[in-house]
Amino acid sequence: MNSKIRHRRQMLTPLYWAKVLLCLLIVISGTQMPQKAYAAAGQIIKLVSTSGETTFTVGGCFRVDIRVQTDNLDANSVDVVLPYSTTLLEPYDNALCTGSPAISVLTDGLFPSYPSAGNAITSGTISVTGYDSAGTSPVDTGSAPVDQLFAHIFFKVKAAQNSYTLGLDFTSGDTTDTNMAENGGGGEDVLDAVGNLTLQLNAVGGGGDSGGSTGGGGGSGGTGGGGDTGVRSGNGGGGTRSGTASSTRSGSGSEGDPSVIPHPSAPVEVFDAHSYGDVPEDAWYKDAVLYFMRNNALDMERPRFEPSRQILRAEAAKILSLTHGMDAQAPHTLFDDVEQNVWYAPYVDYAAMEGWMRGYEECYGNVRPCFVGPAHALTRAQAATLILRFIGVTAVERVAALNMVFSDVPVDAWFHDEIRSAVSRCILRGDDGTGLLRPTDPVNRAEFVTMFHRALVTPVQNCTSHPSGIVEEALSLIQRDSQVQDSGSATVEDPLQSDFSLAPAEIPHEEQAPLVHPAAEEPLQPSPPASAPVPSLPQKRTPLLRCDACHRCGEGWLNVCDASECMGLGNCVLNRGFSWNSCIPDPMWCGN
Amino acid sequence: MHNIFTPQRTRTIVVFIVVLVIVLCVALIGTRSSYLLHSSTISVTVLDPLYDITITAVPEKTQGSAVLTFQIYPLIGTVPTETRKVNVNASGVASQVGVFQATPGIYRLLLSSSSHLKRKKLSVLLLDNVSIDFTLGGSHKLYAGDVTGDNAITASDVSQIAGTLRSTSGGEDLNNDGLVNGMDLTMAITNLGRTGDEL
Repeated sequence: MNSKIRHRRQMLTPLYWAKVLLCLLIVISGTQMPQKAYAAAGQIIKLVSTSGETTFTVGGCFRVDIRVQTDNLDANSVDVVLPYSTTLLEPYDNALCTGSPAISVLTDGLFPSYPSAGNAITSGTISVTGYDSAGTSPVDTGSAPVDQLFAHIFFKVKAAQNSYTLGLDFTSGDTTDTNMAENGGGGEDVLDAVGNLTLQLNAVGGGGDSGGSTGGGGGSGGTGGGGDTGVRSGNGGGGTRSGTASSTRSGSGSEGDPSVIPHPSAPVEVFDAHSYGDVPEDAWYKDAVLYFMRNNALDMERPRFEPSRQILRAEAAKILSLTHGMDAQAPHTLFDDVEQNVWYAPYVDYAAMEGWMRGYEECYGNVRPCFVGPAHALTRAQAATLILRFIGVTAVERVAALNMVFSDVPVDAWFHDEIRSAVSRCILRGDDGTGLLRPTDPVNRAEFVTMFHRALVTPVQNCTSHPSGIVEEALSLIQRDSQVQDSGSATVEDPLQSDFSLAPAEIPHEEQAPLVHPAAEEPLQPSPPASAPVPSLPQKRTPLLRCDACHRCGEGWLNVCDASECMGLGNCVLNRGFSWNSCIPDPMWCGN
Repeated sequence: MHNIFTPQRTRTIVVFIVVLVIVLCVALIGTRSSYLLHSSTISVTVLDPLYDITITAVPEKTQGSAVLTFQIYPLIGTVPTETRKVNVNASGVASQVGVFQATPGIYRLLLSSSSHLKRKKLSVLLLDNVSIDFTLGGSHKLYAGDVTGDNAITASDVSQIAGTLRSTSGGEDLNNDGLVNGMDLTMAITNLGRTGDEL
């Protein structure tokens, strides 16, 4: 009885209520800590599987990107220390994991300098340092969770293991492991966390689980417990997706999860009820379409894929962004032809933030006005460049690309290195016999997804076996039937050899919203109904026909003159006038 | 012809030789004594400087204590009166620094450390128990990054550090953490363009 009275008296004292309040604060703070950990803010270095897959088979080869997120901080240097199991993995510098194992990491130009002395693979540890030697060009990747590619490496799977975490060496406060230094700072480590990569390494023929898991438990050391990186690292941080494609498709790796990307070696699934009505079972581009369907990069609500339609730059941005696992709304970019409320704005913004799309004449972030041409048709050269930027092909690799000559790829063209690199990687193919690659021709949707798919999953085919770099099977591909089939689905030529013309000028809207052509300010025509006949594909063109088409060039739109200015028929170039620019037939094709 | 070696003379000669030996021995012992005495004098000097001073200086390259070179120059001339190695603690303080050669008066002082820029103080009155602050009130460390030793932090220093990345020792390890890496590069780049003091 006395104790009850004493307890009631205690409840009346301020000290009692202060204790209660303190307990409540502790409980509340404890429950909110995980949310803070999932914020993915701060300075983070992440490991990402470029293909988005995390399940691999012994003998397989996959690429790992090392990405940097500075979260609006000016970084002067980054040190990456990545230990790996030499029993399970072997590093290589090429997408086939051939030749001798790599002794250094492939760098991607995020920092002005990557000293060779600081780039080495020794004794199961990958080390690479990037820095701004003059202190005048620090790296700022923008607001979290936007990150940028720092370096990459390919790994060959040597042995199977159910779950293996490829983790960066990081302890908060340790300046000798993975770290980041702020420009103008005193050399303190400002790195908050790291994002690791959990892999499923299967024996040959062992199918394995679907998807596997991505990202290990966020930052080790100080941030621990998932840290900021947990968000983008799958299981460890409870994250459902990552700033990259990897964790998007990994998650918990539950079987049957449609977001899980199948292993390339797994049997190709047949299209189900959600498949597009215009993609035949035997379509040459079917695997690519299936890949991006599973990757949620294609809109499966739409009844048709429209393989023969020219792909718009905005549509390409969407596929790239979704494949990359776009997990956040990027800040609205400064493209003057992208309204903030249009459907493609977030994708173009994301592509710009990732550095894939830089606007015409690389205006993004440099000059205003800056146009990206979202409604313009994507050309073959532009597609190759976008894909190469996506997979992080370095300048060095571009220059060292296959030494081949195409008569329509001038050495001084902006796309010269990109085209050659794309050909050497079998992303693009030249025309048999003509020595043409037609870099300024538009790309259709089937072509684009196939190019992208090859770059991600099957980067090299047999094309390099031909001494000239021109595919041996090109002729047979040219001769394929290009007529529309009765079901409303078109049989589209394998355009990577490209010897066929592009589809009609009708440009459907990706999301059924008006998309305005920046030049004509006219709404684009809607997509033809599913029942409507798909226009037949034109016959193989000749250079003479191409020259004839050049005479139909339209007027120049500001400083841009691409395929869409040519009414989809020819090749035009910008003719800079004293006060007004115009488009003229490309002398490269049409002479003077 | 008589014998010159008479017993008396012989004894005298022997005595002379004995005395001579004793004198030589004494002389030798005396010399050694004087040598020991001289050494003893030097030892006493070390333990008894003219006066003690306190130096405060914080080199950027430090993970605790650091060794600095402290030089005392007369107001005119380029030859230091005295050069001392001093150990500063984690707070950058070296106390009880003995000064031996310089009599109390006004001097110029120069402080340097490996891979750091030099810093001088002019017209400093050296007296017993005086404190000399090279940090300008705690706000200025000795700038790190001069790995080439030319008393300036230039692109050459940055290049030299970049060329020794991943090495585990040497002056390029500016933060003394046992590894040359981006942290050291950034430290040098932060100080890029700075030059040290010269007398």
